[in-house]
Amino acid sequence: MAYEIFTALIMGALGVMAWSIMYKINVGYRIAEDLTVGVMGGYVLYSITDNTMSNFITPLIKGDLMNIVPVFLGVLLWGQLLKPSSRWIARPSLAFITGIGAAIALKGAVYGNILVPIQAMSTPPGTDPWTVINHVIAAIATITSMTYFFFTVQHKGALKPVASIGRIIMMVGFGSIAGSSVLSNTTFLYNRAQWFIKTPYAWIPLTLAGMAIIVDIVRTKSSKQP
Amino acid sequence: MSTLEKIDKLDRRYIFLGLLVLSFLPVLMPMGLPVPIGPATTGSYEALDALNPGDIICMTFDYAGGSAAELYPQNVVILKHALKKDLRVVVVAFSVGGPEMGEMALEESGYKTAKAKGVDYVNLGFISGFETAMSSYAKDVHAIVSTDFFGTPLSQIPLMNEVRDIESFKYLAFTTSTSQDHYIRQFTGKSTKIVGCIQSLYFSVMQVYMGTGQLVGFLNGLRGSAEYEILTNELGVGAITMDQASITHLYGVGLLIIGNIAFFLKGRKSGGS
Repeated sequence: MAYEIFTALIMGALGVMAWSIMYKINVGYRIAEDLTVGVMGGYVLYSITDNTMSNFITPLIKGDLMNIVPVFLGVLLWGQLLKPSSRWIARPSLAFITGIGAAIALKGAVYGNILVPIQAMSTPPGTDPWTVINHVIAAIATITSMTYFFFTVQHKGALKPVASIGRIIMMVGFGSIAGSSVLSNTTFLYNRAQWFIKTPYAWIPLTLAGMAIIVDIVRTKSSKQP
Repeated sequence: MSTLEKIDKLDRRYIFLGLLVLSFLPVLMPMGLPVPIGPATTGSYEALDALNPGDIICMTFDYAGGSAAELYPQNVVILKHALKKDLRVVVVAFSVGGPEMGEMALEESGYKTAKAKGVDYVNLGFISGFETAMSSYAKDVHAIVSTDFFGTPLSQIPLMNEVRDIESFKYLAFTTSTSQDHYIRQFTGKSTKIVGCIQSLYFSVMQVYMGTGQLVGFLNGLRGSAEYEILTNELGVGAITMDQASITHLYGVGLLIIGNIAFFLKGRKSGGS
């Protein structure tokens, strides 16, 4: 029980400290911000170290000599910390990482990001009128948006209205993404609001924060009066 | 001071205060506003519902606490549905913060209390390398993972004896707070049905992948959770959030209209510039 109260108070306090930026920048907000970054940084360091130890270092110590290759390449990466003239030591590892990463991504991209979408666009959409309309709009959007980025020819004559339609379609797309991001970001607020209402004792830091803001408003107003 | 000037000079903190009040209100007084269910959620639900008891599914947890508000309820509702269907679950993370989120979701969904660890569910923990790791995981799980999250060797986990590659899973739900292209590149094109659990921010991108048939469905942020909760009759966080989202978005649209009217009237008064 004591643990639950303590957790509710700490989490609630950190929550209102983070929210306090809506009122004004203050020490509480800075503490919450630094704590979040610090805790996450520490956790990432721990997890990666643990992962490296259990998957590579421990098997190597136990005699799995195949692990010497990734461990050696990993050690070379630390060459980035040396003086500029010695940083070439890290290059084989970087080449390995970027080379393999690019190869794997490209292999998947040809099928997943290029062939399948082209196939889907070129397949007849069926008989449902809404699907047909959707397909036509998608085709127009693709062609006009690509035309907008076709810079080798000046956008005049017939190309100008096509590129303009492409620009409008992109604006609609960006607007949709902006709207979705608003929903995405306000979700954090909804989640915390639910937590504050449903968690016992969480109202205490919320009330204290409200009182502190009222006191600050009154104090600021009285200090402004002649 | 005219109303127009008052609106123009309104302290933005009053807007924040209004947003806070409207976020709390539906939690205290749920309104039960209707939530229409979209094809993306229906597709995700039907794909899981069509599976047979004992089938193995995989869930990736590629986010940390910072994105949990939107993604975690999606995982919980899918796991609750999987539990009802008596499915076996493999949890894996390609992001550092994921394993803990997976543990929490297994606990909250009831898997940990109702099912046997290692037999019905397993948490493989974090695999470093992101897309490279995904590629290897899709080809041979045992080649890239040697122990589960708690250090138990895979050879001692009965469930993992039936898992070789991605096609061992009938259904894979990836959960991510970043781009989805990696999953599309490495996991699609196989017999496994793929579902995305995403933040609303990526809604437009996911529509494309659903249109091409690479995904059977996706859950669009908390809205997706709410829809899935309705389909499974497991009302939770998502349903209440939809009340909050509806009322605060109405507030936002209202402010947008007032702001624009004030802006244009002000422009007209000052000479139409």
